[in-house]
Amino acid sequence: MATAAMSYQSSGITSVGLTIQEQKEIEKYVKFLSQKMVQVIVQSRLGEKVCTPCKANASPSDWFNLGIEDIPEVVVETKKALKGQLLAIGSPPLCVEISLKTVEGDSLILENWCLSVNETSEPFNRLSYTVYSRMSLLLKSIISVSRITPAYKLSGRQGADSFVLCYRVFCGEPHGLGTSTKNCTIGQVDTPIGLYSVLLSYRTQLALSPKDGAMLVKSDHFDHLTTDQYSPRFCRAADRRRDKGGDSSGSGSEPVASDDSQEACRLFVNSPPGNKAPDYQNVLQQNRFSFDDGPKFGAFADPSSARRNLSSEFMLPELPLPTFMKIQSLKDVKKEQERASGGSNAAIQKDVEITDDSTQLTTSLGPVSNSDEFVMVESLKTPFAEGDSSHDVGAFFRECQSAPVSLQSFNRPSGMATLEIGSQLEQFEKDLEGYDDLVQSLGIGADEGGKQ
Amino acid sequence: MNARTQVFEMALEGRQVEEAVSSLFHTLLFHRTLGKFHYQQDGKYTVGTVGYEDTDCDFVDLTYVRCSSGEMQRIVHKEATAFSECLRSQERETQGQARSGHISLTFYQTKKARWPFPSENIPWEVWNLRMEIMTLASEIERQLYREKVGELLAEKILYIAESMNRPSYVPKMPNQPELDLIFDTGFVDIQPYLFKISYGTSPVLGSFNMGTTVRRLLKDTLSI
Repeated sequence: MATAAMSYQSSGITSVGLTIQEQKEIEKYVKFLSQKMVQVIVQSRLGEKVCTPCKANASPSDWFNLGIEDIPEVVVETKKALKGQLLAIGSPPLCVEISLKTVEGDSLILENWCLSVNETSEPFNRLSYTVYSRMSLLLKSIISVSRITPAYKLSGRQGADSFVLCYRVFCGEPHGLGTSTKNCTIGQVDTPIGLYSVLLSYRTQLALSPKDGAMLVKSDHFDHLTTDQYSPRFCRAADRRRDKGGDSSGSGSEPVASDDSQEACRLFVNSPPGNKAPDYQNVLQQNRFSFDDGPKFGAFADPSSARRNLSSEFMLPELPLPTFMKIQSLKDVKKEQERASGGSNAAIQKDVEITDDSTQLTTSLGPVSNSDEFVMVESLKTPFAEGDSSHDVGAFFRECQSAPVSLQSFNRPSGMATLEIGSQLEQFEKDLEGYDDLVQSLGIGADEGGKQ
Repeated sequence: MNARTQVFEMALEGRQVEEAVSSLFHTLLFHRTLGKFHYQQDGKYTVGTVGYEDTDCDFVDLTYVRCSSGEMQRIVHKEATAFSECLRSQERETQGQARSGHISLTFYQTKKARWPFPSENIPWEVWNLRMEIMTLASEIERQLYREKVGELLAEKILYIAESMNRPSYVPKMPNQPELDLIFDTGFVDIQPYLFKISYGTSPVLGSFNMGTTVRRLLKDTLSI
């Protein structure tokens, strides 16, 4: 039981001047400091508001006189990271890495919390309550600071449809976070077995620069569009608290980790019952955005669209289309005219003969319906027409089904038009004197009227 | 002994004052609060548990942590609200001109004196918040200031955490007869160091001098 009062027995002296009992006590303090640090950090990223009661009388599990509840899975992960060893001088720091993962599988490390140990700054000859109280103070600082980083705001907006926050506990050097990073030392506790420090590094900007090997993302890229459609949760904390029983410190509880790999990242998503949380890959291979693997979809796009066969869905059906712009030779035009009307084609033939020498195939004829491309529905009869549709109304109806093959006015030879205009101009020039006299007469009449 | 003093200055809207004061004072009190001491016959004692809870601000883009003690929340809320009202009423009286004021959280210990002299309160840590009220014209400015004040308070909270963890003077753990000289034992479920909150609308000096310290000691002694 963690009590402020300590009683010591002179059963032996350790190398640092502590008794065996004191040595065990301080090692226990360090062990639970590591455990509680990871707990408060992970719990702060659940996306839930934390509220623990004050108690006039402490419970056996209330280490450092703080109401920190334990999530069994976090206890297991911490023990795995430490591998049963005490965090001592010379050992790598204990790190808690918080990362963001989108539904497309891209991940981004947001922050690193590290508990490191160095040589103690002053000699200790006894273990006092001061060490314990300073550890408690350090945990309070971690709790307070964990609410001010950008990751805390993101934790409240996460959801299974957009992104989730994940954590990883390991012993080793943390991964770099890029250029826009803030580093700060939360606090230090000097103990007889080392100087324990908690360092925090977090991204100040969530926009990625091209230097990171990824495309630029807006700083609000991961913001929630609407809050009433999502239930942002990081972990089924309530379910886990119900499931846990007995010793809340985790020493007697069943491990609930589904992945024995120490480097695997634990995914906490409060997905609806029955939905399996997406499997996780090794986070070391996905610590950066990668847009090289095939087509990508937007952050808020329907993920099921990624599994559809786009080519088959968006393939246009082959529909018979009318030939709107068809270039025909004038000979073909002539044949159609004879077939459609049967009347005298003298004028048309004359036009065709005159222009036959000049041009042949370059005239655009406008919309033409090629009867060969359509299936004539015989059952459709011309309304108000007699039985035989080859005369009168029926023939007229057929002629009007499409635009005329050619308009005579547009088929006039250019040479004829030029001759007509030229003769008119010559006539005007001959009559020029008469026009001038007319204009002068009109001008004199106006002057005489004005004078009057 | 000179108290360790820290001054925070900020300019913010009138409606943000109460939350700004509460966020910083609760962060400080969370660090300076222990569980209830229960002494045993042999002089040993056990310590209770301090619970905590997240609190969202309405006018500032910030979430902070405070002790989950109703009594402490009422005390801080009362003082912060009174200070906010004092500043805002003065702003109204002066028709929107910028008003400033200060509110202080002082941790002290009581030192008994020999008869007939009364005991004296000796501050050992003082946190001053100097605030100036601004009037913003548009909703866009208010939204920007909501985020800006949130970032400013976040920096202060980080500074408080770093400052609290530096090796600095804290009163020694007392024996049972002297517990009331160091801690406020009036709370049911927690035990903070002795503290008091005071405020005014005039600017406060950034550092102590001898005259100010003596006057303040006399004033504090006579008021308690």
